[in-house]
Amino acid sequence: MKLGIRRVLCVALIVAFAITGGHLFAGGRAEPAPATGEGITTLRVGALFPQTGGMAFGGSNALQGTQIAVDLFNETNPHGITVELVDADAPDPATGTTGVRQLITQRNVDVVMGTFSSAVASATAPAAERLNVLYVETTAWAEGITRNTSNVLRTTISSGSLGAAAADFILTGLAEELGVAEADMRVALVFTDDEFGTSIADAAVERVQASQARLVVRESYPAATTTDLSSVLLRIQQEQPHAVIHIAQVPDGVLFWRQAQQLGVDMPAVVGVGGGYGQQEFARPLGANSDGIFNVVPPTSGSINVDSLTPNAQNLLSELQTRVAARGWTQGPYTDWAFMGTWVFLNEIVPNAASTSIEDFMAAAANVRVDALDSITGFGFEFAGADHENSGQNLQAIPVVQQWQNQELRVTYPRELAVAEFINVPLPPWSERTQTIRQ
Amino acid sequence: MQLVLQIVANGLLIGGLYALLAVGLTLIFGVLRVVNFAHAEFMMLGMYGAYWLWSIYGLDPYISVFLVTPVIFLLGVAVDRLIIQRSIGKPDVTVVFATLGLSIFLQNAVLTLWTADIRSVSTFATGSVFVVGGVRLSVAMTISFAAAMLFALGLWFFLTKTMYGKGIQAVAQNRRAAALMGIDVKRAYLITYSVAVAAAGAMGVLVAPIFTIFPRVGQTQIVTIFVIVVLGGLGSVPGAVIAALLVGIIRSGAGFMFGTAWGELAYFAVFLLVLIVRPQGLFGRRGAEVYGG
Repeated sequence: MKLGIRRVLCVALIVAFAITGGHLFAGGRAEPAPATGEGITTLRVGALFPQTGGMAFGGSNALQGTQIAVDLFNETNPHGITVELVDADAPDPATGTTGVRQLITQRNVDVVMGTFSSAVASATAPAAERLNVLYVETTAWAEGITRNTSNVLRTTISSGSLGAAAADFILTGLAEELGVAEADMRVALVFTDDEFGTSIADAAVERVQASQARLVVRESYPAATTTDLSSVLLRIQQEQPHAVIHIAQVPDGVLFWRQAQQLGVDMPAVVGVGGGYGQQEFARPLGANSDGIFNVVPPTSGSINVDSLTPNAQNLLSELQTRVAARGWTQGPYTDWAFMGTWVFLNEIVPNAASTSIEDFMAAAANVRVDALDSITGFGFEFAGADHENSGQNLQAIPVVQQWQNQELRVTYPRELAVAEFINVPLPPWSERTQTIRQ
Repeated sequence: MQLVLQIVANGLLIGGLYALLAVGLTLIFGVLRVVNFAHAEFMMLGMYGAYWLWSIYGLDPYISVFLVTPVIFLLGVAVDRLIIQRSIGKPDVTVVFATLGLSIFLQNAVLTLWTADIRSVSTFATGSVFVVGGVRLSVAMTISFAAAMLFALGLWFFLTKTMYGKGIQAVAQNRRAAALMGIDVKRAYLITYSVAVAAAGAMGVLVAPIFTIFPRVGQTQIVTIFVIVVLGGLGSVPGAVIAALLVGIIRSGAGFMFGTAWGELAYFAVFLLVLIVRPQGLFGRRGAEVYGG
């Protein structure tokens, strides 16, 4: 049977129209529900996280935090609003972009929340913007996500603040502890060459260059394919920096330290940024050799003194912990950040928004003021306005410096938030550590 | 001078790790004319085998390698029977997608079974170092390097000095003529594929004390391994070993002199240069890259 091209195209168009319900041809989602004077009564939330692939572990943790916040909100329901959660997998930018389009055009969500991965969020947030839908970022940190956008509310930290905080710590608190003047500090910067890594690195470079300190090593590498970091370690050994900023995931973080031990590269202090240094999977294989390594990160319930939180925040944390345990899940940092970001969005923004339009959500977000002690993560919430270069960014999401001590993370800087004193500053040389060396 | 020796030693050791994977991959291509995209996944399975035997039974990877390798060999037999031999003789694209599909299947099977948690193995060799003339050599990487060289040497001996090995070489040269001479071609395929993937599995066990373990760990290696196989000459075992060591040294040297990112650029530049001057690779036969035969 011979089918004409026109006939095939006609059939394809009819099928596509039937599948998409006409949204494909209408240019996107239906218009947001107009303000009725009663605000929002039902909200469909799309949750877009990596659930398969290399980022599935962190992505699933974040999705679980979001799920628990929605469940808890629906059970307490103080505002008479029902929230329906619809999830989609986003293991990479291409799949994530398809996912965000499906969530909006076929599953009719009013808002998309995500994303764990900065690379994915950098593609999916603009995709949501094109379809005129609000994007709430609870767990991805790349600076660019809130740059030149009108539809993003980010409840968590930005990578720029992480890089700046790491450099700032090195030039102030760490320099003082090492007994070196800021102007004499020699800093090395090693980072993954993706958008996330470079955005943190750029902010750190800016801060170092604004001081009189010297940046003696600046090296990037592809995290996805790196199996050898010996060359960068030998450069570090040659330049002898006082401190190294390492922006890494877990596999390259562990590789860096195992090879540093193998090559006997001594580093007085290393400050990890980017997530890898903050996970148990990083400290476990290094054992006692992890003690003394720093990590810059948004605080979590696991790293702060939770007794200082308000009773409401303590109850909220207890509820989260109970529900995580009941489902056999693991409570990680991303669970906390996703949970708290979702909780603030649902309780502080949604009830005060006149409709599900971006403008109404943003207007409601402009009035949000949540104190750090009312939050299980230890940082507050206040969103930058449209005139800010990072509009929609939570300005209260300020990083802290943690340190591995007995293979547990403890906040050690800034001093006013510290729960422990510094240890191992400077880090002991490899010759004084327990390792097997055969001559 | 000591620094130069350290850089060369680092390059050789990492090159040795690449060699164990590359030798198997090039062997499969040389004999079966199959580009095995799933090759690094057998390394990943070997790593998980080492991890589970270490975490549950406390078995050191240098012992468990003797348990895991035969299991991966049997898995190779099954894969060869069920997938590889059924796709040989079909259009090229069928073979490519069969192994690519197997790669994705194995990654996701492991992800589903054991989650994306990042795991690691610590043994006496982790962090242990030999110092030879001021050059520091990782015990774990030296053992892997030695195993890779022994495997390559053993394989070369088997292929060139034994009747069965010569039979496999005959299949590699012309499968139809070999069949007419009474060589069991399917059996040659089976042995070749299973031995090659078992070597990848063995490498996975041996590198478990060095690298972290997660479902996509194979993907960190596979591009480099393909470059090595093509650089050495498709189907050439000595070529794969020499190319692996060369890539290791270039990456290490250029990485130190110009930066880590330049290390990758440098070996790709050498790779492209060799392809321009000698398209069949350093030790390849002209026409070996063509399917069929």
